[in-house]
Amino acid sequence: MHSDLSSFSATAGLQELRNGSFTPSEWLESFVARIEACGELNLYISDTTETARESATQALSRYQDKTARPLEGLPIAIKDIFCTKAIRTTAGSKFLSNFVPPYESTVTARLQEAGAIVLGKTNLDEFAMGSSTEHSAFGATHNPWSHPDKPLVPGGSSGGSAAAVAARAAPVALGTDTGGSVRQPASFCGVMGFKPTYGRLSRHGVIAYASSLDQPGIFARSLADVELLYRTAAGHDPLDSTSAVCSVDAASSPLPNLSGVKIGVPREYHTKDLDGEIESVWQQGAETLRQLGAEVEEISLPHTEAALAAYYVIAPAEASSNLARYDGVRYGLRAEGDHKSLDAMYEASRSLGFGKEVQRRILIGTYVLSAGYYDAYYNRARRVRALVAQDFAKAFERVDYVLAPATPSAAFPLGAEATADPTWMYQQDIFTVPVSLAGLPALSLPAQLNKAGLPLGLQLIAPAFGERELFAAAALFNEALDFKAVPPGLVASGANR
Amino acid sequence: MDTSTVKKVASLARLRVKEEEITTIAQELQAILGLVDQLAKVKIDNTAPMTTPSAGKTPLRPDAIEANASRVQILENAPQSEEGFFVVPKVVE
Amino acid sequence: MTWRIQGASGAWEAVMGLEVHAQILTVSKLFSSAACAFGAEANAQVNLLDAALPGTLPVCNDHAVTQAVRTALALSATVHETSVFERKNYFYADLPLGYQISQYQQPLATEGELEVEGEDGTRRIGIERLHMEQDAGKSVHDMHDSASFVDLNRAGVPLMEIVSCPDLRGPKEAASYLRRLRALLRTLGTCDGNMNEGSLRCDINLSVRRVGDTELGTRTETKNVNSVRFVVQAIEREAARQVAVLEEGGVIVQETRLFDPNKGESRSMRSKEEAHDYRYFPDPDLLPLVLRAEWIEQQRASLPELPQARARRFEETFGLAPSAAWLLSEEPDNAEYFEALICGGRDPVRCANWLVTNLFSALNESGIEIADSPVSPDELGVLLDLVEQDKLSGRQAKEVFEEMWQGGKSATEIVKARGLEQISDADTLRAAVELALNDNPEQVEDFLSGRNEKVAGWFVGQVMKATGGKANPQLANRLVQEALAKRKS
Repeated sequence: MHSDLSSFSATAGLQELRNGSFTPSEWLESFVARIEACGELNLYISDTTETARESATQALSRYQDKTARPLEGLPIAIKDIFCTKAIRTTAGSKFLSNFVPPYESTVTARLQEAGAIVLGKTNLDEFAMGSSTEHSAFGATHNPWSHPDKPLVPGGSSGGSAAAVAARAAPVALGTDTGGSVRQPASFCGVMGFKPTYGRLSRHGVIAYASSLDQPGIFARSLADVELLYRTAAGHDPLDSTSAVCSVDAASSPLPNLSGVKIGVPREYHTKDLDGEIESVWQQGAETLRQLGAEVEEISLPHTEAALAAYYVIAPAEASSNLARYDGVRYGLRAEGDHKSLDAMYEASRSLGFGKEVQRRILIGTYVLSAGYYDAYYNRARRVRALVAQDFAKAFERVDYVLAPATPSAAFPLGAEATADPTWMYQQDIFTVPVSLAGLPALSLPAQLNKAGLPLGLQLIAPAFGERELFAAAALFNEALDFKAVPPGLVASGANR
Repeated sequence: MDTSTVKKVASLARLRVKEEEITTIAQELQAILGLVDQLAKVKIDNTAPMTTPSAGKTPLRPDAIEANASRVQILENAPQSEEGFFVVPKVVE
Repeated sequence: MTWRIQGASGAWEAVMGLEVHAQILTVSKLFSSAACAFGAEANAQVNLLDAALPGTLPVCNDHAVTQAVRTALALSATVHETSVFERKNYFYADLPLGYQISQYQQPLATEGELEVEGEDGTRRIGIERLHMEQDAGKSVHDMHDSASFVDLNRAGVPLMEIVSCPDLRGPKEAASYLRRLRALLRTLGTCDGNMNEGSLRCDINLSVRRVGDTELGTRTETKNVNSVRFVVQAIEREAARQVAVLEEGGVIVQETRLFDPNKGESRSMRSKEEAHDYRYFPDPDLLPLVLRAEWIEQQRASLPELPQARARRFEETFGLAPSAAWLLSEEPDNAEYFEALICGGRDPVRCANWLVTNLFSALNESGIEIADSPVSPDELGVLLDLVEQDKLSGRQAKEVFEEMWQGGKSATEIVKARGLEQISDADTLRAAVELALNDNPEQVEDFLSGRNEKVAGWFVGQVMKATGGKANPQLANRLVQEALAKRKS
């Protein structure tokens, strides 16, 4: 009954391993089987089954020797943007389709040092640029909640990780969140998605999209799992100059209720594009919090719309520079042919190796940094960013948390984007981008299914470095939301454990 | 965003844009600029620019040698290398 | 004399500024822990960051910061408590990241100065800024017909860019600026100043204008001028070229020129004329560099004596001539040698003269650094003491020095072996004088009769001949005079 074991959360499964109810290998095989069964969803770019099996065997001896580490034998999925030593790492790009890093990212190293076992590297939008996981050189990932005839996107850019956790092809997964790339796919796939405060999780070894926004994040089906992975991976890293120096707090302790807690609901998030069902889920979420004893009040985040504009200047600007290293000299793809000059080789290789969306963002980023436009775009965007951060700072003088939708709509159909102009996709990030600009921690929780049976998520946003309090409040909220639904294909194999 | 700007920017970014795609690209980029043009409407007064959410100062490491890659590792992913060098098309100058 | 370029239509002056890239003396790179040593095998000193592997991040070297701050303070510049690393974006084969991490809008230091000696005497040249940046790698173009080879050993090596104000007016002044800057860096130990190995590189910004004009002309930037001699050469050539162009009614194109040391000429780098747009922006992988005011003051207080202050001290305390004082101050090792030499109470002026005329030429001829001199200050001191005690003549001392230079033997040993020791014993010499007088009565008579008073000198010569040149000439002269006077009475 291996497939059943895939329904265990990380925390519950680790407890069973400690109890000896099943072995790490048995648990692992349940996911290997799920990955196989979910082949059509295209969740993983590379699987590492062979080494995982070896690790699972070693994990068993550690349990037998009583030298098991905190995550001993926990299978994890890793977004293919974390460099993993001797395991191909592509960032979803043709450019890096043969790139094998000689080193390990800090976050994946910390998890593995704690005993976690890598199941494989999940699909993503190329270089994390996208909100649908359609912009991958390795094909699109499908949302496990899709009707077989009408595939939906899992969101993005960490769509493979979100979908893998939803489809029980992994108990937990790592993603990265630059403008919502963890929170939005979590919402689309009905799982939890957590983006810590900027600087909490090291970026060392994470292939950069936009350095001042990128932050590793976590997908899980249980809040305890989110906290477990976060606490294992977080903390200062001397290899990342932007890594926060402050120490990670002690584990959160449960609260009896939310009395005395103030929740802000931002007025500006009632946008014209906001789906009616999400609006009502949001209101019900606020009501749930009230019932838990919290005070809910309206707040103002006046620069919400401008935040989206600032994000689509700052992120491409940084990306245009971060992706300049892909020149076909030291690694990655070099276009075939007899190149007349170095520049010709660069242009041929980059145009061949990068997909459309990446090229588009590089062009925009180059443009907004170029002479004559710098002040109007890049500098102005940085000022607006400061205003966005100030909006939150002012709000947090009055409230403890902000409650907001994670996305303006439920998962959209595969291919929908191709028919729209590129800004339609960018608009999807309206609720996630401001948090990214301000560098705040935010947790996307699955709240309800809509009428079409698709999950909808809500975000709980906390002040910087307020993870501990966020987890405490979210535990009660999550319990009250009581989201139990599983994707249609998994109904037969029972509820998440 | 006209086609000559697209060409100029593409050349700065070392991307090759096909002649037949330039107009489409120009339109797409124009649409994105339409979105970001909201920036112009924001009253920014004397707000200081924010580059990063990190509040601190850059950390400093001790001046010590710690090799984290061998010559072989540095060269093993290279599309073309010879005699320990990376090899590129001839640069004239 | 102010430097002028005489054109067909009148006199022109040149306005110049130097941009110096000095490799900061550290063991590891500016943002990675790879070694910086010169001369390693290609790509043997390259960390993952230096090859710009995806996901790698920069972390700043604290010693590089200290070194740059000390340099800035020694140049009397204002060191800013907050400076910012920015990315200068451009593509090149030896620039792995596709950008250079540098400082732009908020550099480490601004508004310094350096005193130079040139065509117009002593002048203070403004230093506009000093900032830190990474070096690029190296492209080798002559290993293959159709390919360039890239070595990243230099990629990421820490540099200070020191930019002067356009205050320089002549080649001598520019040469002095470079020489004095180099002396300063070497004294501080912040750069080894080795221009052959590329640790110190110089670009010249130069424009010309008619004498009396106040507007600046269009300038060119001549790159890769990597010796003091070439600075003089490049300035003279470029100023003459610009004047010729202008006098023929042409215009100066703002361009980058590359100096070719083999030809002593520069040529336009046409490929660089493509408009650059570096798209500088603050590097989001690094936070601002923040220095505490007290720490900056500690660095200032712990600066060593700088070459110019030292030269002044040598002039004032020891009475050295300005030229000797500078020669002995410019290199920290020179000053150390000199101070070791005089520490036994030896006469500083004599010691200085000896060093400048004898030791330095020997060093130059054999291409040896003073620190590796085969004759140590102690050994040289013994030789100079022999001269001081009248045991050796100046000429003999030079001969002994030459033998010491070959190594192995001390001054005393050589003097003894050669039997060179000067006869300064009055009794011995008096006997030689008496013998000479007795053997030459005619010459004595010439002297006594007053026919030839100069014959005294002839007798000294006879004494010298008789003693094989070892007689102390001053003493022999005195004794001859005495003996002749005695016979007169």
